[in-house]
Amino acid sequence: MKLLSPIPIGGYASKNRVMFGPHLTNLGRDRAPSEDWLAYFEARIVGGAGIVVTEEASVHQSDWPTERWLLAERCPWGWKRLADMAKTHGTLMIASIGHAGGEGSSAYSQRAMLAPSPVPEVDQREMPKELEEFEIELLLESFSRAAASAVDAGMNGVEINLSTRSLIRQFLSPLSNQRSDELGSDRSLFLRKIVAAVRSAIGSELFAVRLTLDEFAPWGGLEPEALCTIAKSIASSVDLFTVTSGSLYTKARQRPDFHTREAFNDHLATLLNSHLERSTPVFLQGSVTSAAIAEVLLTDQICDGVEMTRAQIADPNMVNNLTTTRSPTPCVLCNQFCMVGDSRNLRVSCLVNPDAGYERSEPEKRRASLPMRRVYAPVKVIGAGPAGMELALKLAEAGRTVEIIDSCEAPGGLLTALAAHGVGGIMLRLRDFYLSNLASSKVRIELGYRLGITELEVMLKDSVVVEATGATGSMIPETLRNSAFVRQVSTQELVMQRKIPAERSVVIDDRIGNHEAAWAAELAAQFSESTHLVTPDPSPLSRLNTGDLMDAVSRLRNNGVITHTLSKVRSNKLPSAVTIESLFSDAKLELHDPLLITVGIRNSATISPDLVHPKLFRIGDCLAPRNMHYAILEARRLADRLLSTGAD
Amino acid sequence: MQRFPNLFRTITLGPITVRNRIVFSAHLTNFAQNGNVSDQHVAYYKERALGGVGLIITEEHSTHESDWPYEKMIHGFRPEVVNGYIAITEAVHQAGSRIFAQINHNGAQGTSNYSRLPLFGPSPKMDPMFREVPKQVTESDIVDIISGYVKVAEHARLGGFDGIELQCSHSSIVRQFLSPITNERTDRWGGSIENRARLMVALIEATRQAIGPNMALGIRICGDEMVEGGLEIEDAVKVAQIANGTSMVDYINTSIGIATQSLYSIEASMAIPPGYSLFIPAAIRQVVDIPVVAVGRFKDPSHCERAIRDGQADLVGVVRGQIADPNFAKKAKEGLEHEIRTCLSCNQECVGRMGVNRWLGCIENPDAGKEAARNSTVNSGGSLGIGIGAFAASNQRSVRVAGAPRRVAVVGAGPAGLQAAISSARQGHLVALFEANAEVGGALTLASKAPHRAELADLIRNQLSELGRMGVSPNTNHTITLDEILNLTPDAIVVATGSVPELPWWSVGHLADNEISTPKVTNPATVLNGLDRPTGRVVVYDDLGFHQATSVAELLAERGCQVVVVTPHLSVGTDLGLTLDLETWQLRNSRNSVRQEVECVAVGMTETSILLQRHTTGETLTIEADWVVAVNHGRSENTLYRNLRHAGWSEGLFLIGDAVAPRRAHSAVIEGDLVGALIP
Repeated sequence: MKLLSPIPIGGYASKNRVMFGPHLTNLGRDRAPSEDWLAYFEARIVGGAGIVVTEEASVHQSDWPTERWLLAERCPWGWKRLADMAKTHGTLMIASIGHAGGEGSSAYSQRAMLAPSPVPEVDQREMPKELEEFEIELLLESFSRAAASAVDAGMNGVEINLSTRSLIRQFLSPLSNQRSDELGSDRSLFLRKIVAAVRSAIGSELFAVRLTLDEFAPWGGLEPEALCTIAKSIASSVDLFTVTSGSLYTKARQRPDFHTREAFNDHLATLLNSHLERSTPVFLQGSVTSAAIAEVLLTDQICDGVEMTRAQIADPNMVNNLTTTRSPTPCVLCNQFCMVGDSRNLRVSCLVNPDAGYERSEPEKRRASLPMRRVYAPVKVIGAGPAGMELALKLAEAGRTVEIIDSCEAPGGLLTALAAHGVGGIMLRLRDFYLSNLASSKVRIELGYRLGITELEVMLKDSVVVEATGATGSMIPETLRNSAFVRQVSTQELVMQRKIPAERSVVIDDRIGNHEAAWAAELAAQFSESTHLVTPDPSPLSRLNTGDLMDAVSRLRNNGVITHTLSKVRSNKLPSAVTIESLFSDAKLELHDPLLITVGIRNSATISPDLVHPKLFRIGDCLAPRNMHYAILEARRLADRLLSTGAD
Repeated sequence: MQRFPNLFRTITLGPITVRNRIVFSAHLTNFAQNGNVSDQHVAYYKERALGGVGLIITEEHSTHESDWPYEKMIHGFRPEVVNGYIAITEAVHQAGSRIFAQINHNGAQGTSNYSRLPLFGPSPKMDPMFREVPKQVTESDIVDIISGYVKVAEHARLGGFDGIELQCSHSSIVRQFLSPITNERTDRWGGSIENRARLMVALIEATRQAIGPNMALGIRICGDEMVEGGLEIEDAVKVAQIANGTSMVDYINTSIGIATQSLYSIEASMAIPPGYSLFIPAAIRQVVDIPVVAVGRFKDPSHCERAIRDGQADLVGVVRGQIADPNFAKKAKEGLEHEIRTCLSCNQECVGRMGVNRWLGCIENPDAGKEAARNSTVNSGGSLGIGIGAFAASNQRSVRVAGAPRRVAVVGAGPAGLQAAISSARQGHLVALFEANAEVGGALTLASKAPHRAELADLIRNQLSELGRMGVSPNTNHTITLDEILNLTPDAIVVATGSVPELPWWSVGHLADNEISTPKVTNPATVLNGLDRPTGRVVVYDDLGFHQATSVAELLAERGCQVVVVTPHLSVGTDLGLTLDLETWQLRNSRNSVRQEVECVAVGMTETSILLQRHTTGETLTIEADWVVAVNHGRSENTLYRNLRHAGWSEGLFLIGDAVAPRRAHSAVIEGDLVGALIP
């Protein structure tokens, strides 16, 4: 596999073509690395990554974009620990250092942000200070000092960021640099100064540059050609380029969800290579999650290596697992748990790998090398959704006897159900991952069998029984309790229908505001003449934090979905009619006999709600309807418990 | 003679005597670190105790591992908290105040994100803000919950607290059990009001047993959930009677609203009149024989005095009032109430920061949240020479003793300049303050002219009042020149010249004083100072998403204009949610029919209209208008600063406030406040 072949980079060689790229983890403490932070990166080093670029650290205290963003002057001890450890694995370690300039925040420092020109930051609309010359000098020195400290700590090199949230990119671009001095008339001057300062500070160590090659702002920003020219102008000092895209107004384009195709920056990498004439290795960033696609990129010489960050969040052993029979846990490009840049400071984690971010704090008993007990009860898992399949897989791989029973005709639970009608096809990757590994472990899955409570009680006599029966969406919201004539389905029930009949009108009662409402609205627009999305929030889909928000709203608009914000759905006196009411004004819209779709209101589907028994367990949505992250987490925790106690 | 005799009469809450009727009641601070109380907590509460408050009730302490709704929560069930508790209570006791710990379980008003455990709730009903379905608690879970409270009560006792307050209000599993909208159980914990109150009673009994007779026990209940079908005053009265009936409760604290549905009613902004929730303690007081606490926009001691004198409450909670001025109680007691730095009820830096997981601050009290002056949460900057705006040379706040007073010239008497004058005068320096306009207060004074924004002016009034006591008064109508300043031979110059409006690119060619061309283009400052008086059809085009656009829109609509607020954002007034003004603004402005158009970017103007493009679809729109009020960032006015730099000034030259970058008032105050300690 080309992906696993080495490549020279600067004075070093990377053992393979896979990079674990820099991303916010929130695992640091007081702007410094922590043991949890180290454990997170160590897992990917052990897992086989060829190059690890650590989380970007601010070169100066004036830069404090999020509360747990690292500060370079506090990093050397952590860099040293990683660098020392990486030597035994032959992993190249690169420290990302930078400054977010006017794309940061003043909330933590309580000082103005610094930027080339007074251009407001996009998310909070806050204005930065226009940098004065003495401040620029100081920042240059800071870059220099930070770079030197990283290589002194043993890192093989440093990476500077010219992509999103980058002071240097702000200087390069006319969107953000309107200075009247020489740093404005020559927008690349600051970059050249930085490059010279950093190169001088690190000597012959690796100098990597992460560069956006498209600002997506053709009216006033830099276009790919111009950015490639800039890259070429510094190439003689640079050992590695990583290609990204996105900029000031398009931050979300840098790490988009599954709505954007994999390896979407490929054409940009090709363009850069044509400019560089192969003088410098080029790695490609951008939703590369499958080894097959990565292999094609390398074979077609589109790039020399690939950044597969989310793939290695989902499976830290991704690289090693490429050569074992157990395929890696697939990233599904959902962005639900790995994008942690908001003020809640959540730890980086993963929908399908809830151990990500918790490498140290989740019990180590869950590792594969558990001692096996001689006598133990067989385990019957009710439900072949992600919770049940994860549990069965963990048990089977540890040698336990386990069997799955599911009432549906096909396994996979919601993974299969949501793949219908073009909604969540990417989830099938995860389902197939489970099914193929379960098959390898010879786990029996009995389908189409609906268990009753009496049978379950009989089972408990000689088995451990785990309910992983999920949740249904049949709960009627209170505002519609009196309206037995309103036709109403949950999003889950909707998508599970084989064929969705046409409707004159659909009302989506969205109390959640996330991706579920987005796909429900898009789906409804296909079979309904008019689709109304009703939310109590001031804007539609306001909880969609996967980076897809603006695109999702555009999709709503372009599909003709009518959004009713600050509104609610009510039944009225006429049977089978609903009213959409504004919360504040007198605006009302009455609709006759619409199909009402409820988002997010789900009920445990447990078949034994009142039963308590020492050998009966519940995991996932049947415990409390939430999402797959907790379903898998609870499966892992229960597996750990069953394997260590014998559960008798 | 005591001006507020009722307010300063002592009172006993069970076994505990409290020196006056002023309470610093429970509120989130986000000062916790790693689940434990911090030095900042100690310093924060100590300051209010030194300031004379009678009773402090801390923020909630969580009683169970399933309860972790926000990152910086105090995990009261962990034994490590006790040492921190001791530090807090000792500091507060030394200063003569009493302190209770509020303990709680948030139930379904939480998230699994931090705990990674399912939420607990009486029924599997999703909270409207957190939007996660909880697990319906079993009898065994309820036993666990109660023992969690017992454990935390025990820690509080060991930690030296004088009492416990059980939160059965804003964000609490107890209220979720009490409320018919969240409790649909059919067992003994649901149904009748007695059943729904069973958990509360069980917790009262268990907590009382744990703390014994020498600590006070109170409950905080919700007088009106402010949502359809929720608890109302009649229910609150019954609940109060049930609690009182246990004979184990020493006082009842009150509240209004649900934190996750009607927060605007809990932490009411200046748009809601003071005293709005007094009906609650008044009603409860009729049916119980134990003291009752009133809360809700109390910022004036005479208002507090009246509530007690008129029998509506026995004690009064003053939270934001004591965040803004820790010496509220002392000043009131000594007849110096006119010196109180009154809270603005702006919610910008206290509530506004809570909502986004940040430590609590105050727009006009730059020490709030930093009482412990710990550098881990405050940027100490690097030594970066001149200019405060970016990052200061040092954040040390010790009073400079050495040397003769310096001569400090401050140019600009908006909030930044006024605060710089204050901080310099406090250090004993000689201050000369110059203001070009007739009125001081800069952008803030203008902002206060908008409807429901008048209390913003209190910030300036407070600053002027403090300056007056130090013998400094601003020279108004005085545009000072470079030469004039230099002739003053100042040791330090503070440039606080603010910002000026900037016409957006798409409006060029449509200046307001060009009478031939319409639509005329103006900005909020010019509308608020009366120089422009828009009439007819007005488009308020909003780039900022904060109060400027919404308050100007409201003002003009009230004057009879037909107003449309247009914004490129996904909603109008997107940051109004931070200050809890969104719902009330929408409510008021749906009545005066202010139209709203979102996702629209301005791309130009014609002679009769503004041209827009909806960026989510690409479609173009035209809105006919007589006037356009462009609400966008202004441009920093710092010519004087640049000239002084060219003239060779570096050390002793400061640039603060909007003159650095146009921002919000707290930046001005913080930066002005830093000046004093940095005068060389």
